[in-house]
Amino acid sequence: MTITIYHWIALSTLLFSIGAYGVFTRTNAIMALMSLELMLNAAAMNFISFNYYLAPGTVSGQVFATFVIAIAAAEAAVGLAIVIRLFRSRGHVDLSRANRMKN
Amino acid sequence: MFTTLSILIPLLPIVGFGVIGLLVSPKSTKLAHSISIGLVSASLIIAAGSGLAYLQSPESDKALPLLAYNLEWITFSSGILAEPLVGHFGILLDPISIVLSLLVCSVSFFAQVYSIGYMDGHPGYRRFYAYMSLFTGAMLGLVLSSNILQTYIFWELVGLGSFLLISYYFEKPSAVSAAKKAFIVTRFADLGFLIGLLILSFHAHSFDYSVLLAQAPLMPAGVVALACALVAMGAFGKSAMFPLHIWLPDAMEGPTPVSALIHAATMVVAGVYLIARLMGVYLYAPYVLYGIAIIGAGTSLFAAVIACTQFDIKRVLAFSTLSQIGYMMLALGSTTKEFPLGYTASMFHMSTHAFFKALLFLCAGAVIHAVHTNDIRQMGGLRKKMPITHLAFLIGTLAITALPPYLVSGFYSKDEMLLALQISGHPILLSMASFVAMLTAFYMFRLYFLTFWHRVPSPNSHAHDPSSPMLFSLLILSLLSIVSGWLPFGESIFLPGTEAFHGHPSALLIIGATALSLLGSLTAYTFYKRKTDYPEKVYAALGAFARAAKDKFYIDEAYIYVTKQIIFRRFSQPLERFDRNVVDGAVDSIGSATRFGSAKTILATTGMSQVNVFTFALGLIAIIGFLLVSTR
Repeated sequence: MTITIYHWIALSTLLFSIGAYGVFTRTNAIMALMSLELMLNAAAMNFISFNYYLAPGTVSGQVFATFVIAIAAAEAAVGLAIVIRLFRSRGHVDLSRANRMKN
Repeated sequence: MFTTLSILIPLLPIVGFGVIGLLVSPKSTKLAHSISIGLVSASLIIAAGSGLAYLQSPESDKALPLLAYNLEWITFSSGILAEPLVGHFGILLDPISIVLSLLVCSVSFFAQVYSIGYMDGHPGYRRFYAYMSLFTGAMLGLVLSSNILQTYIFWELVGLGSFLLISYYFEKPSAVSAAKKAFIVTRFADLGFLIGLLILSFHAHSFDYSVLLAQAPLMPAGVVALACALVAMGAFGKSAMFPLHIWLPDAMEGPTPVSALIHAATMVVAGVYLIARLMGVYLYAPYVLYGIAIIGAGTSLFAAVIACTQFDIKRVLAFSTLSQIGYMMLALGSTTKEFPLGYTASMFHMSTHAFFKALLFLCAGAVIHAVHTNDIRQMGGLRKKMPITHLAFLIGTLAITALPPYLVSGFYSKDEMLLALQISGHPILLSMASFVAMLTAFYMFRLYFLTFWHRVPSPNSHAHDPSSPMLFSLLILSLLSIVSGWLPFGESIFLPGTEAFHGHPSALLIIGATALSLLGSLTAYTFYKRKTDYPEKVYAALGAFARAAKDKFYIDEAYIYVTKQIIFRRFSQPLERFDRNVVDGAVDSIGSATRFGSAKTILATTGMSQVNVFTFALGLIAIIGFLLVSTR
C-alpha cells in the first residue's frame, strides 16, 4: 500500500481532534497544555506533508514546520510559567476553578 | 503728542488692575493704593493733555470727532454681508468724550484718595483698589471708544466692575443679592442694546460711530426707530431709568466711595452718554427721543417723590441720582435739529452732577463712618462736631438745589436744561421739571437738616471730621462743585453740525425756578430744623399715596410678582418639567436599556477558560462555514 497525502491528512486531523478534545475537556492545566501541543504538531505535520506531495524539491513547508516548533516551544514556556504562578497562588492547577474573571 | 498717548488713558488703569490683582501681596496696602492712584493720575494728566491738543485742532471749532487711534481688531465676513464687517479698537476724541474722561479720571482719583481713609483696615483693601482700577479703565474705554462694538464690550466691563464692587462685602447676603440684581437687570437691558447695535451696524455696514452717523439718514425710518429704541433700552438699564431703576437703590450696599464713583458720577450716566454719542442717529427717530424725554421726566418725578420718604442717607442720595439722571434724559430727549440746546445742557448737567453728587456721597460716607449708621433719624446735630463735612455737604446741597448765591454749579446746568425745555416747546415737561426742582430742594434740605441740625435723644458724642485723605477729597470736590458751573460749556460742547449757543435763560425762568426751590427748602426748614409734628401730619394726610411712596411704589414687589408668579410658574416650571421628563427621560432610557442588555449578556462570561476556548472554536467554525458557503 502506498502512502498518499490523504493518509497524512487523516492522521493530522485525528491528532488535531484529539488535541482539541483534550483542550476542551481536561481541567488539569498541564493536560490542557499538552493537548494544545498536539494540535500544533498536527498543523506542523500538515505543512510537511503538503510540502512533500504538492511542491517536491522545495523546503518552504519544512521551514514553516520549524517555525511552528519554535513557537510551540516558546508557548510551552509561557504556558508552564502561567501554570506555575497559578499553582503558587492557588495551590492547584484546576482550570474549572480558575474562574475569577467571571462576570 | 498727547493724541498719540491717548490710548494709554484706558489702558493704564486696566494694567493697574492686573498688577494689583496678581503681583501685589495682600499685605502691602500702601503699594496697592499707590499703584492705583498713581495710574489714574497719569490717565488724568494724559486726558487733560489730549483735551488741550483737541482744542488746538481744527475739528474743535465744529465739535467734530478726532480719531486718535483706529486699529483693526476683528473682521466678520459672512454670506449675507456684502463686505466684511470690521471691528476696530480706537480712541475717539471729541468734546463730550474728553469732558467725561476727565470727569471719570478726577472723580475716580478723589474717590480712591478718600478710600485710603475710608477703607483703612478692611481685609479686602487690595481687592478694592484692583476693582476700582478695573472699573476706571473700563469706564474710560467706554467713554473714548470709536465704535459701538467697543462701547458694548466696555459697557459690559463696567457692569462687571459695578457687580464686583457692590458685592465687595460678600459675606453680607444683602450685598450679594444687590450685586446679582444689578447685574441681571442691566444684563437684561443690554440685550436690547446688543440687538440694537447689530441692527444699526448691519444697515450701516460698519460699527464706527462716524459711519453710523453718516448712514443714519439713508436707513429706513422704521429701522432707525427700532434700533434706537433698543439701544435706549440698554441705556435705560445702565442709567437706571423707570422701570429698570430697581437695581440702583440696592446697589448702595457697596462701599460709599463706590457709590460715589460708579452709582452717582460715572457709570450711571453711561446711558445718557451713549444716547448723546448717537444723537446724530436719534435725530432721525424723533418719537423715540420724545419717549426718552417722557421717561426721563417720569423717572425724575417718581424718584424725587420716593426720595422725600426714605430714611437711609445713601438711599435718599440714590433716588436723587435717579431723579437727576432723569433730568439729563429729559433734556437730551428734548433735543432737535432746530433746538440742540438740550444736548449741551444735558452734558453740562452730567458734568456738574458728577462732582456735586460724588461730593454728597463722600460726605455721607464720612457721616456714616463717624456715627456707624445709615439712618438719618439717628444722626442729627452733627454740624458742630463735623464742621468741614457740614460745609462740604451744604455746598453739595446748594449745588443740586440751584439756590442763591448763584455761585455753585448746579444752578447753571439746571437752568440751562430748563431753558432748553422752554425753547424747544415742551411746556408740560418744563412744568414737571420745575416741580421736580422743588421736590429736590425739599428732600435735599430734609436730608441736610435731619443730619446736621436736628436734635436726637442720644447725641453722637464721639463723632468727628474724617481723616486727612478723606478731608482732602471733600475739600477739592467742594471746590470743583463750585467752579465746574463757571466753565463756558455751551461755547465748546454742542451737537456737531449745529452752532454754539450763546443765549442766557430769561429772568422770569431764573426767578421762577429759584422761587420753587426756595419754597421746597423753606418747607424742609420748617419741618426738620427742629423736631416738629408736621412730617407725621403731612404723611397721614397723604394717606395711601405716602405709604406707597415709602414702599417705593411697590415696583420691587411687582418685579417679584412677574418673575416668580408669571415667568417661573407659567413658563419656567412647565419647561423644567418638559426638560426633566422628555429630554432627560430620553437620555436616561438609553442608559437603562444598556444596563438591561448588560445584565442579560453578563451571564455569558463564566470566567472558565475552557468555555472561552470552546466558544472561540465554535465561532471559528461558524466563520469558516460562512466563508465556504459564500464563496461557492
